[in-house]
Amino acid sequence: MRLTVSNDSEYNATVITADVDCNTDATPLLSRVMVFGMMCNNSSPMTALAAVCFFHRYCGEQINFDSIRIGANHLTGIRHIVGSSVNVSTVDGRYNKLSDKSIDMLVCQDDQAGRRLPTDGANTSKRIIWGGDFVNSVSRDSYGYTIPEVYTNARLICDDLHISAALGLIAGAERIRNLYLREKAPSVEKRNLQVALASAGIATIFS
Amino acid sequence: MQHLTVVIPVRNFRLEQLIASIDALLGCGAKCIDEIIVVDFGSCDPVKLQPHPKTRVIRVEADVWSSSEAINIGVLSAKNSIVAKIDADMLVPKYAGKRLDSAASHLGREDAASMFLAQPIDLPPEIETSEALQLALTARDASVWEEGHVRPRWGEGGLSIFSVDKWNEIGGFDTRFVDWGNEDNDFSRRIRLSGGRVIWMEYGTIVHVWHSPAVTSPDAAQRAASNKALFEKNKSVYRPHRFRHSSFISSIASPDIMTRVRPMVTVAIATSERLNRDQMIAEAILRFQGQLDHDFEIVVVDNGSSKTATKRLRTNLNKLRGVPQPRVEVLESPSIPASRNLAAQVARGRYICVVDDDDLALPNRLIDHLRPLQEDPQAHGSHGGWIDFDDKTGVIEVNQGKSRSIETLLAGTGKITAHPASFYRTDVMRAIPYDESFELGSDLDVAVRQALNGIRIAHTGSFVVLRRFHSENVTRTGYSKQLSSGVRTRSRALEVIGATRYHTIRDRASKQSGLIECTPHYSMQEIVELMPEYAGVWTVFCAAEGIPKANSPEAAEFASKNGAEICTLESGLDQPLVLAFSPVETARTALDLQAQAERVLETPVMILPSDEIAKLRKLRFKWSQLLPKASDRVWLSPTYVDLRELLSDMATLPAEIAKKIIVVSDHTEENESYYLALPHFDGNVEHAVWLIRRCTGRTLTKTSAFNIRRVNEGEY
Repeated sequence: MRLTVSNDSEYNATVITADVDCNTDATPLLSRVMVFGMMCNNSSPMTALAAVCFFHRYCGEQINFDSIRIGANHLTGIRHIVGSSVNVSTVDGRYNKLSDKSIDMLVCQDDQAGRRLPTDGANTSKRIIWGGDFVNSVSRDSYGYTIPEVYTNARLICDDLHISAALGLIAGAERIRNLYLREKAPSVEKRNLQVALASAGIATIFS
Repeated sequence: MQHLTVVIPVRNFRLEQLIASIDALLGCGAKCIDEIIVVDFGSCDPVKLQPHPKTRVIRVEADVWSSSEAINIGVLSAKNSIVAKIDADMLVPKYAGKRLDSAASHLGREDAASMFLAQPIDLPPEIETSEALQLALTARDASVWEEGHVRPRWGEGGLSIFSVDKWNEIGGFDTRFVDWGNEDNDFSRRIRLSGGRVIWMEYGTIVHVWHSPAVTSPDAAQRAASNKALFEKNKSVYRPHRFRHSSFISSIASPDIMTRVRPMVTVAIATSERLNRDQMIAEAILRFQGQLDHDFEIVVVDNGSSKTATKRLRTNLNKLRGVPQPRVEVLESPSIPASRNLAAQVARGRYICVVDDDDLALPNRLIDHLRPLQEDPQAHGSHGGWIDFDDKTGVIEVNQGKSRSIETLLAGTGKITAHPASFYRTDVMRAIPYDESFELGSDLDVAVRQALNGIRIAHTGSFVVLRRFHSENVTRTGYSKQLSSGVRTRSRALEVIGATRYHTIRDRASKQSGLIECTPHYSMQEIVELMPEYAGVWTVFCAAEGIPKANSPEAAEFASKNGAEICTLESGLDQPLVLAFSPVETARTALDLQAQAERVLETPVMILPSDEIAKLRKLRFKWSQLLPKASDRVWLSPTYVDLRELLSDMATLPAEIAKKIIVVSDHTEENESYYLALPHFDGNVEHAVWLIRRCTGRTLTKTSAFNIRRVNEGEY
């Protein structure tokens, strides 16, 4: 899978594109994830990790990043999300930059936004509230929907846990110390994600 | 334990090798294998095997070898939900048995969307079948095959393991592939295109025993080339289930076997009780007669109707012949979006064709919707052009449609798409359902939300539907509600992107808002022939000059009997004279009159809706009076490409406003466009502009007449 990250400055959006480039990749329903209301650092390895979070279900045995250099730690992280047998290009064994741990982040959806972000006062903190399609998939109506600060179409191809993690990585890049996530997910997936982000120097806290 | 059915397709194949392949499967220690089906696809000498509790042979008669069809027969007859297809010349070594267990378990429990493939190791001719089998039954690892050569990973399926659900979803192996070759590559590619991964099994999972070519028909090379061309050309994901080459359906399968496979398309109709509903819905359904070899189902959701009306609808639909029997679902409360969501939930087709209960599909509709999806497998659906017709007057408006993007939809450039001319992947409609909080206008909302979420809807490049306008149309009865729904839809989507970015949206929309050419072009004559025979009021006419039999007694009598008169169709200068007959009701009568007139007068005779002629005559304008003074201020409408559309808009205006309107034309080398212009006058100009917007939906913008002069420069 070739993953390309770019910004659409006219729409203030991050665009992550997945192109199938090997005979083991699956084609996702959407090959382009849009994140409206958020621009990314498109050379950060954290953004690469975010791209893998979005498309992890579809990556076959190799992943190529366009113009993102990642280190061995990030490679370990990616393999925890996608699987240990995956090959990743643009890995630079001498690139060891990890998170500088300067902010805490809470990423959640609108119905969880009222909760407070735990902080120790010494660090800055940031909260990202995101949403997807206006229509609730269970009730099939849009009663009570409020437009979030960040809107993404990623729900069509990805689970909420990985979307939250990816949005946190895009927004916080190399500054995240603790990433607070509140999505329900199987414990195996939570554990894999936790280990993956820990490899990049980020502590994931589920609450 | 997840059980597995193994399918082995054969035709005129060496029995010794087939038996070796089965023995290897039974001896490899795979606990998951509890059924082995050999599909004998019309071998000259029918396959006969020693009885074994796990093994059975399905024999079908066939003149042409189709590995695809043989596999499909095996899958359809399998008792398990996971199937392994293996070629008869492959052996599964003992050490690989656990790999089969593991693959079956993975597909059954974790990821039914994916498939497993194994790379065969080609054994040299020196290793005979018996020796290879002996090695396979005793080998501890793949090192025993050191003399073999591994095949590259293309997607070929010497051994492929997949779920029956996934096979069913994508339409199985495509039986247009004959003999063998590329059908397996095609299948694995479609698995990947539908969201499944291909997982390659470990090295040495199967070995291929050498044999001389089994099929040596003279046209084998031609068939191989045809298979290759099909693989390269058709990139669509979903294919119809067809049994083209064998006697399976006629002689082997149980009568309901085809109910196990999914149809290609679900024709989804939401309906509620209203005047002439049963007649219109029957007409709507019968328009699908003969389309796509009837590889579709019809789902009708009756919402908010009385029990009597629903019962009557069921009875009437049960009487329909020549189409698949419609399935009727009922919603007690009236809701178009809830009905459409229910249709998507119960649909078995891979695509949903949106049909309104009063519209008429053109004969090419289903195949035209599928065509762009063959070229672009990542498109999520298609929409086409539509032709509006008025049930009562017969007035027609042709709409090609435009590129359907978030920009064109938000900028509201008009005539972009019509919901009943749309066709979507079923999984898309389930992922992005209609918003049931909308009473009307949920169709525009779903189109905008699809576009906002990156769903791509291609254009068919053709007209696909006749859209009926009548007194009970929701477009007419709920016009104001639709307008307010449109505002709500656009405003919330705009809020996501950012209202301050409207200029960007408008700029991008202007680059995408060209009309898409639809072919074939339908003449008025052809459209009338496609309309219901009871529709419209028509004027039949021919050119007044040059009628060969103009002076014959028969012509005079015919003209007199049918109220013929010499007149013009349009008001204005230099209009050609025509011989027009008295207006007649119904398209059938008009077509009959046209045929008679052509026979009697021996000249081409045409048809137009009488209402449209009346409109053309009512509107007067002179080109010489067009230009206002350069110093004037004027209000100018957006461009009209079609003059008839402009005239139609003018007809909707109150007389006192219509008198003040002038028509401005702009000629370029390629085409001609028109504007409504309102010069300044003493009185409430703003009110007039507001009235024009209300009547025509067009917003006039203030400009200087100097600009209009520039537009018209060099025109006359």
